[in-house]
Amino acid sequence: MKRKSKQKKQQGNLFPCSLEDVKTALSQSMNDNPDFYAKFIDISDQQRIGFYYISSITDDKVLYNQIVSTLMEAKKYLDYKSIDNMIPLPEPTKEKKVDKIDDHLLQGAVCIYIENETSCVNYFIPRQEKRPPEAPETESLIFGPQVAFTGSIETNVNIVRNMVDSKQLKIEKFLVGEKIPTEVQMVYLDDLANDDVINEFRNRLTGLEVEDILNSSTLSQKIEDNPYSIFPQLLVTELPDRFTYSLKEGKIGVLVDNSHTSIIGPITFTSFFESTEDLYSRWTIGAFIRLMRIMAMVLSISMTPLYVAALTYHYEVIPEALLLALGESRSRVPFPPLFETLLLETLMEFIREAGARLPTKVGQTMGIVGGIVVGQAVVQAGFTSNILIILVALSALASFTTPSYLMGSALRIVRFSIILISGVFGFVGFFFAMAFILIHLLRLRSLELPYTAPFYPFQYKDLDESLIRLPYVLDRNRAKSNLPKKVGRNASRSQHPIFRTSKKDIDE
Amino acid sequence: MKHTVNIPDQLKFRAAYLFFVLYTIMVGVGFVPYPRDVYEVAGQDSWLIVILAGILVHLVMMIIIFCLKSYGNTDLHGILQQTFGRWIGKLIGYLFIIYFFLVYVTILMKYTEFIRTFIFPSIAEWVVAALCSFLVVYCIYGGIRAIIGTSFIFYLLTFWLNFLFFEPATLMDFNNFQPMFDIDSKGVIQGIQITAYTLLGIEVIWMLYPYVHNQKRTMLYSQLGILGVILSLLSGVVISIGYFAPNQLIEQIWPILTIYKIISFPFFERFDIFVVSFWKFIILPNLIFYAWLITRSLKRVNNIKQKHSIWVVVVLSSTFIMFFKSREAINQFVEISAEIGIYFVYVFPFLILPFAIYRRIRGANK
Repeated sequence: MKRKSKQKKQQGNLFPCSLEDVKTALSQSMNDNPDFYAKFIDISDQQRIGFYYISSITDDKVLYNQIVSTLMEAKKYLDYKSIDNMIPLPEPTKEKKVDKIDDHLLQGAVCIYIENETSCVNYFIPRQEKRPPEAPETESLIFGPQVAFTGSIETNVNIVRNMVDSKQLKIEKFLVGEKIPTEVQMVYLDDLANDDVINEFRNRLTGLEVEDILNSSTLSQKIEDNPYSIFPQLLVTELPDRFTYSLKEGKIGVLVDNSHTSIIGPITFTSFFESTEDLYSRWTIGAFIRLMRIMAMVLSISMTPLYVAALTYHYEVIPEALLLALGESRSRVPFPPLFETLLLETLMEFIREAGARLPTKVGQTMGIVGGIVVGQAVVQAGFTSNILIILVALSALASFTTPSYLMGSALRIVRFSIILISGVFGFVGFFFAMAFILIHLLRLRSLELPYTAPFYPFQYKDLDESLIRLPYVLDRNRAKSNLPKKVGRNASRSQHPIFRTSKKDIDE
Repeated sequence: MKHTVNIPDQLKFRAAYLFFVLYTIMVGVGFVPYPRDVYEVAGQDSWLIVILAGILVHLVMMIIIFCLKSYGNTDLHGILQQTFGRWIGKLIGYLFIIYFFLVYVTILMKYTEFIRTFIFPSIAEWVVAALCSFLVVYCIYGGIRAIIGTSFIFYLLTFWLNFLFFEPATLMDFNNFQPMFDIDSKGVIQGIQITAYTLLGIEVIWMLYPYVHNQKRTMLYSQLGILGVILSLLSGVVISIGYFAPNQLIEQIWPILTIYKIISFPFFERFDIFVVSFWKFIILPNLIFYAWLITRSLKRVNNIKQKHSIWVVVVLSSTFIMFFKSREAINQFVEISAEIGIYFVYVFPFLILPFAIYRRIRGANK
C-alpha cells in the first residue's frame, strides 16, 4: 500500500514539496547521473529556490550570469511572474508534473522551483558545441558558395533562412524516434510545394516507428518508397545551395539534428546527375557537363560488361585491328575474361575503399601504391590485359563523375552484377540486365511521384531541368514533374536586352 | 462481372502513349523475315502489298474504336457479354485468352530460334524463356503504368535502329522494282494475308481503351501508331527489294538482319550480332503486352488475380516451347496461330460492328 502511494507520487503530483524531494525524484529518474546538478539558494527566510539542470548540456554562463545571480540579488518575495520579469530569456514552460520535467532537462533546460509551490518553470538554455560551417568535402564545387551544412540543426536552419529570405519559407518541427528522439525539421516554400507531396512527406516522418535514428542518411533510408531498391529515392546532400535551389523548385527539404547532410524529395533519377555547378557555369558548359555525366554513367556500367561479353562469346564483333591488339595483350593472361575483369574491378574497389577509410595523408599514398604500382605489376605478371586496365580505370573514373556519392556507389554495384550476367549470357545477358534496370527504374517512385519523371511520364518542357540546361532567358518554368503550385518563374522575358530591341532589320 | 470498367484516375494514361503502345506491340520478331515472305508471293510489287494491307489495318482499327465508343466505357469482355449474353460471351472471352496465349508462345519461340541461330546454337529453350519471363513478371507486377512506361522507353531506345537503314538505302538498285504492278489478284490476296500476320497486335486496344485518359483522341493516336508501323515496314521492304538482287532475297531467311551486317563502326564490326541481342528490347514490350492481355482478360472473365495468373502464364509458356524443337515444327505452329489471329483480329471487329451500329441507332432513338 505504502509502496503504491510512493509510486503514484513519483509519476504524478509531487508538488508541493521540499526542494530536496524534487532533487531525489529527478535524480532517480536520471538514473543518478553525475552530471545532474541541483542548486538551492535562500531568497529570504521564508523562501528557498531550487535550480535543477544537467551541467553537460546547459549553458552555465547563461545559467549563472542571467538566472542565478539575478535571483540572488532580488531580495524580495518572489513568485513565478516576478521571476519571469527579471530573467531576460524567452517565455518559460510551466510544469506541474515531475515526470515531464526530465524531458525538458534532457533538452537543455534549467528547472526553477520555488519551495512549496504547486508548479515549476523551465528555461531552455541548451549548450551545443558548434563548429562553424566549413567548405564541402564530399560534394565539392568550383564556383558556388564554399559552405556545407554543419552538425547543428540551428546553424543549418540559420544558413537556409539567410539564403531564402522569404515569408513563404515554412518550417515544421518533428521529433523522430521513440526511445531517443531526434529533432527533424521539414522545410519548404509554402506557395510552391505541392500539398499532397507535403502531406506524404509529413506522414512518412510522423508515421515512422523507430527507436532512434543515426542521422539524415539513415532517416532517408527508413522513409524511402522502396527500401529494397539499389537506387536511392531521396537525395542526401551537404550543400545548402543545392538545398535552397530545390526549395525554390518546389521540392521539400528535411534537416536532421546532428547530421551534416540534408534530405531532399521528391527527386528523379536524373537529379543525381545534376549539380549546382551546372547552374553557376555558363549554359553551354553546364549543358555539356550534364550530358557528359549521363554519358559517363552509361559508359561506367556498360564498358567492362561489354568487354567481358565480347571476349567471351562474340569475338567477331571486334574489328580486326583492335582484335590484334587485344589478342596480343591477352596472350599471356591465363584467366577467362570474366574472372580477369572481376579480379581487376575488385582490386579497384579495394583501392577506393582503402583510400576512403585511411587518413587523408596516407590515403593519397595508398592511391598511388594501389593504382600505379599494383596496376603495373598486375599487367607485367600477366594477370590481366593492358586494355582491360584502361577500361576499368575509365569506368571507375566515370562512376566518380556522378555528383552524388550514393548514386555513384549504387552504379558500381550495378556494374558488378552486369559483369556477372554478361559473362554468363554474353550480349543477351547484357541487354537482359539493362532491360531489368530500366523496368526497375520505371517501377520506382519517390514520395509517390514517378522516378523516371521527365522521360516517363514524358514532359518535354522539363528536359531542361534534367537532361540539358538552357540559357536563363529561355528557362522560364519550374520542372512540372514535382508538381509545384506555380510553374512559371514570373520572369518577364521582354525585359531582357536582346528582346527589347525595336530594330526591324539588321543595322537599323 | 460488371460490364463497365471504372479505372481509377491515377492509373489512366494519356492517349498519346497509344502511339508507342501500338508501335511496340506490332513491331516484333515477325519484321525480320517479313520482306522475304512477302517477296515470295508478290515479287517486286511487295511495297504495294504493304500499302494495301496498311489501309486494311487502318480500317479495322477504325471499326474497333467505333465499336468501343458505341459501347461506352468498357473493354472487350464487357462488349462480348453485353452482346452475346453471359455464357457465350465468356466462351468467346476464353477463346480470346487462348489466342493471346498462342501469340505469347509464338513470340517466345521465334525469339528463342533467333538467338539460337545467331548467338548461342545450343542454348536451352527454358533459359531464354526464363530470362524473358522474369522481366515480364517483374514488369506486370509494376502495374499498367510500368507497362506503358516500358513500351515508351523501349520505343525511344530502339528507334535509332531505323537510322541504320540509311547506309543500305544508298546502295539500292531501283531496277529491282521493275516491272511495276506486275502482280495478279491471287498474289495480292496472299501477300495481304502474310502482311496481316505480321501486323497482329492492334487487338490490344480492345482491352486498353478504358485506361485512356482523353478517350476522344484514341482514334488519332492509334491510327498514327499504325501509320508509324506501316512506314517502318514499308521502308524495310523497299530497302530489302532494292538492296538484294532478286534471287538473293529469296534465299535470305532474315533479310533485315543481313542488311544490318554491312554496318560496322571502327570499334564494332558485325552489327547484326548486336541487333539480335538488342532485339530483346523490341521483343519485351510484345511479351509484356500479351501477358498483360491474358492476365487482364482472366481477371475480367473469371476474376482471377493478375498476381497469380501471370505465374501460370510464364510457367505454361516456358514448358510449351520445349515441345517444339525443329524449325519446321516452330514454323507450323507459328503459321497456325497466325491464321487463327486473322479471325480474332481482323474478322471479329466486323462481327461486332452490326451490334455497335444497332446500339448507336437505339441510343439515338431513345
